[in-house]
Amino acid sequence: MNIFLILIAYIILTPLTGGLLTGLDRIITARMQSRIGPPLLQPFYDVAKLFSKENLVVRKAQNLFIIFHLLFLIVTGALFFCGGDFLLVVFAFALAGVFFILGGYRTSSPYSHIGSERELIQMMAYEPMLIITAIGLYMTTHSFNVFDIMSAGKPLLPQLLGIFLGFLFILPIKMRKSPFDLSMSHHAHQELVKGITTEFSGPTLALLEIAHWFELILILGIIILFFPNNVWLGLAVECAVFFLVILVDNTFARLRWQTVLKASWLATFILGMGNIFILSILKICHS
Amino acid sequence: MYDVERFGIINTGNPKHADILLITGAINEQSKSVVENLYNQMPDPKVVVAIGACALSGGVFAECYNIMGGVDKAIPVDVYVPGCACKPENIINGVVQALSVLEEKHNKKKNKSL
Repeated sequence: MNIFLILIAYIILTPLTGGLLTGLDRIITARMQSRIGPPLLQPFYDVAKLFSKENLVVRKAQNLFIIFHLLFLIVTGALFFCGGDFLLVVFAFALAGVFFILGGYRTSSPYSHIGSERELIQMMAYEPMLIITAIGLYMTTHSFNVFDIMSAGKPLLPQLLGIFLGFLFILPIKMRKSPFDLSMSHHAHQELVKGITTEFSGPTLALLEIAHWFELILILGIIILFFPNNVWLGLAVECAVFFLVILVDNTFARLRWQTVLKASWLATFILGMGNIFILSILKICHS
Repeated sequence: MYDVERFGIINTGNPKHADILLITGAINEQSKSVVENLYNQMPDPKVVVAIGACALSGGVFAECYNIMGGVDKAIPVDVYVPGCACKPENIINGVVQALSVLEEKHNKKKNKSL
């Protein structure tokens, strides 16, 4: 019964908070560029408008893939917030991403194909770090279960500092922010980097937007896992991280895909693997 | 700083994501098919705004042998913004007027489907 309540709350609250955060993001970004920015509820207006538009389709399958993308993102988030297996969350998340890429490849536009290729490269860049996060959480709490991790009762950040920093490093990829916004940037509406969404219009574009809200909340939810004993501290850190990512987005230029791949793998190797290495050494010393 | 995003408007280069098409130049035989193609790629409902004397009537180029005239020679125009050159405030005003035309077209579409 309790799980059902959480599930219903999750399905109602996630799009609401996701949309509000996106609106807040747009206002903060505008202020950083000395503009006024849109109303806070603009993302909701946008989605409502997109649903009332005509749906231009190149191939019908493209919309099907986007529906599956959204469905699997909802399932991934449900697994996470209802206390599922964190490893399963990582894999379901990857599957949702794959559906997005397939949708991009389904259309015959070269812009869309380039966008899909870049999205694939980005997945290669962030996926190792997500799995290392899961391993790190398992090594400190001896469980992949989200609720078990949350009831660990001790701060995980000191032990997982490297993994936390590594996770922050790949965060702009999933939040579609500079310097890692190669396939679906928030801002570059005139450029190739908006590529993967080129052939999506009307209601399908609205579904993509909603999917992004679910993605955002899931990614921010993972940050709380590092603060199991103090959720409020976790939320405060989350706000700080959200602001930091927007600040970085507005101060850094976009990088080339080679640099993105190299930098994120280097960060994964040094911060992520290094952290796991130290944890194993400590474990051996203790025993 | 001129900011149309405070009306919730984002400047996009992709016709499939767009509601309002701004055109700032006269139409000739070469550009006619391009403009028509862009217009047809926009999902309904959509609004066209012609900006500047050249887009309105051809302006000083109206008598040129290769110029066909304003944008309305190729596609239906909803809002005309005069000026040579246009002031940015005028362009923003035109775009905001286009929003009400968009609303009207949207309501018409809704009534038709009912």
